[in-house]
Amino acid sequence: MFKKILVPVDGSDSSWRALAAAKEMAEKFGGDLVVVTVTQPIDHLNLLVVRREFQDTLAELKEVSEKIISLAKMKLTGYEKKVDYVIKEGHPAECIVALAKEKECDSIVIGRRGLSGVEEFFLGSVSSNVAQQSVVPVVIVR
Amino acid sequence: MFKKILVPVDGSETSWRAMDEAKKLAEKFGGSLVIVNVIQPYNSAALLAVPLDQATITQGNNELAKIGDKVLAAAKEKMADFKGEVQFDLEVGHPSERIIVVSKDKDCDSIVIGSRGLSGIAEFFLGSVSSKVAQYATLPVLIVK
Repeated sequence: MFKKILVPVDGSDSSWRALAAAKEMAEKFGGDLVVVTVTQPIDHLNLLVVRREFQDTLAELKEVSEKIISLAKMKLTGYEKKVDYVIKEGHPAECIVALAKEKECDSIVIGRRGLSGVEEFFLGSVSSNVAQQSVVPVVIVR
Repeated sequence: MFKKILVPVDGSETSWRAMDEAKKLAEKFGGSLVIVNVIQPYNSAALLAVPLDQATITQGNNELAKIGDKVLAAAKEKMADFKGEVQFDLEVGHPSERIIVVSKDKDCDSIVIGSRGLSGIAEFFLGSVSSKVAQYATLPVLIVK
């Protein structure tokens, strides 16, 4: 375990703590990292109402994802083993679980809560769904 | 992280896998382990449905305590080759609640728990105890599948 760790990040402090934890674990176990951020496009209902603005917003969201990956790269400077950086688009928890299978990760390290702003009790919905659906071990970091 | 790991076990295969992973983590991080089994005694709700006299309740709870001791004895055997410090703790009460309380009492810095236990109810992918521990713990939680 922890030979290939998937770390979803979204720019939240919690996700950076997860990244730091994953880095530590990968270093101890001699493993590689796969860092992913998922751009969640606006859903179809909104599209019908504000079609034109949607194009701009999606581009903006993608820019944000790219910034998040750049930040992740900065935070991992000096990391000696392999790191893959991935940007996915879609439903976060699904993309995360699917990517773990695709990249043959043996574990997922994820923050407790993200950026969503919705005051979910203690454990964010993405982290919760990933913990449930993942077939590999999941570490939930504060 | 992983310097003092709380590992709830219930005798299920998944809990033994969790304990095994915790052992590996403790070895890598130079940490110690606290292995806990929580027995859930007959509670008041159950009593309302099937009124039992005190003697039966006590006997039932004693049986449960014996099972708890057996689970911890099995855990001790599996931990025989662990070179670090390990504690074994038998708790009584509501599983997820006790687990979180013990994690604080024992100053643990992480929890390693199986995704499902013995309950027999085919909950989707993540058992109710693991799910609640993941939600309410303030410590990092590793869910082992």
